[in-house]
Amino acid sequence: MSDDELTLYPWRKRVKTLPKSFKNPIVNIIRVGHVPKLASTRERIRENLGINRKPPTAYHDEKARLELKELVKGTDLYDKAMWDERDE
Amino acid sequence: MTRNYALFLGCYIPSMQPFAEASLRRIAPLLKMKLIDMEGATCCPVPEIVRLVDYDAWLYVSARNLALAESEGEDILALCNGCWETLHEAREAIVSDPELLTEVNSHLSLFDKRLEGKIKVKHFLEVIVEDVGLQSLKASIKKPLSNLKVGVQYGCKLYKSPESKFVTYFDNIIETLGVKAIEYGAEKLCCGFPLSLYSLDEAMEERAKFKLAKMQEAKVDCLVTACPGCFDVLEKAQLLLKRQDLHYEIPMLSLTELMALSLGFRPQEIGVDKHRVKTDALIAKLGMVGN
Repeated sequence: MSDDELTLYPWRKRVKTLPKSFKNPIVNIIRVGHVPKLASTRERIRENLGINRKPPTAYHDEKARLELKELVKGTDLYDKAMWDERDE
Repeated sequence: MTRNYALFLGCYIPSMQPFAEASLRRIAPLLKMKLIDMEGATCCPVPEIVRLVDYDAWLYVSARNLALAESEGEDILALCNGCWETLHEAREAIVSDPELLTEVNSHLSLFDKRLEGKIKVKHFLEVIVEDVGLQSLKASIKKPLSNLKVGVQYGCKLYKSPESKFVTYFDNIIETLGVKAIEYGAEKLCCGFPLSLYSLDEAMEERAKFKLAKMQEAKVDCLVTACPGCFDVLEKAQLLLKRQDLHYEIPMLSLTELMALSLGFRPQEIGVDKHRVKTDALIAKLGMVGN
């Protein structure tokens, strides 16, 4: 929320941290490149359906995950998710 | 002529609904579509969360995904309504603003990537109607499903297409498959997915419950959607609302599954039997038990 909006809507409060429902998906995006984590049961279903056990996306591509993390470092997304390197 | 597409899978389809991906991969060759995997693609990112929290981060991550497809030289085929919205709108924003394009490219250059805006972002429905053609689709049908009555869940994002043409395309495809779409009176109501990111309970109470009840009243054999967000919420709602003694038991199909069944694939081949809401009654109605 901008300072102008705070003047216009004085009862509103600036959101400093994310609600948990937003934080978890954002942390997942930064960590694994996607919103949901890939469960092993789903990997088995994929294999049974004749498609790659791991999707050909950031799920199986560490370089892609690192790129995404670097890309969003320094943005509000990264800060607001209260990313903590010690969590890794 | 076979057309190439950079396949953008998104998040929910590969991880939660692999049957939608499997069925697309089965039908693609029959419809002369060659799917090129976008190796290293990430979340689009999800517009209901990332765009709200930080527009710049939303743009940069979208731009990286767009650049991956551009390096393949192929238009993107988006199988998910949300991914189409993000990638289409981010591309429009970036390509129409030379300063923004320069800024985005300065970030992408750290990873030897570059965006020029040469490729388009196409929704699956757009590809089927505008590229494959309804006549070709009709010619590929091996098992007409004319005894099937479906409730269509378009998903809100389709209304963001020019003149809501994707909604019409959805109807065109259903009609071409020979399936009967039942009007249940809540087609335009949001499934509740965006609300579910705040509270799944409220999404179920305020959206899904009403929608599912209307479909149940209309006696649809199944629900068909092209949106993994809608699929996820309406499936979860059916499971969780059992706690309130509400038993809808409405089988759900992604549009690619419905097409694959029509094109002659068995339910077990494409994973229709792997859904969380039981599909036994639907499979029986289709006469495909034990296949």
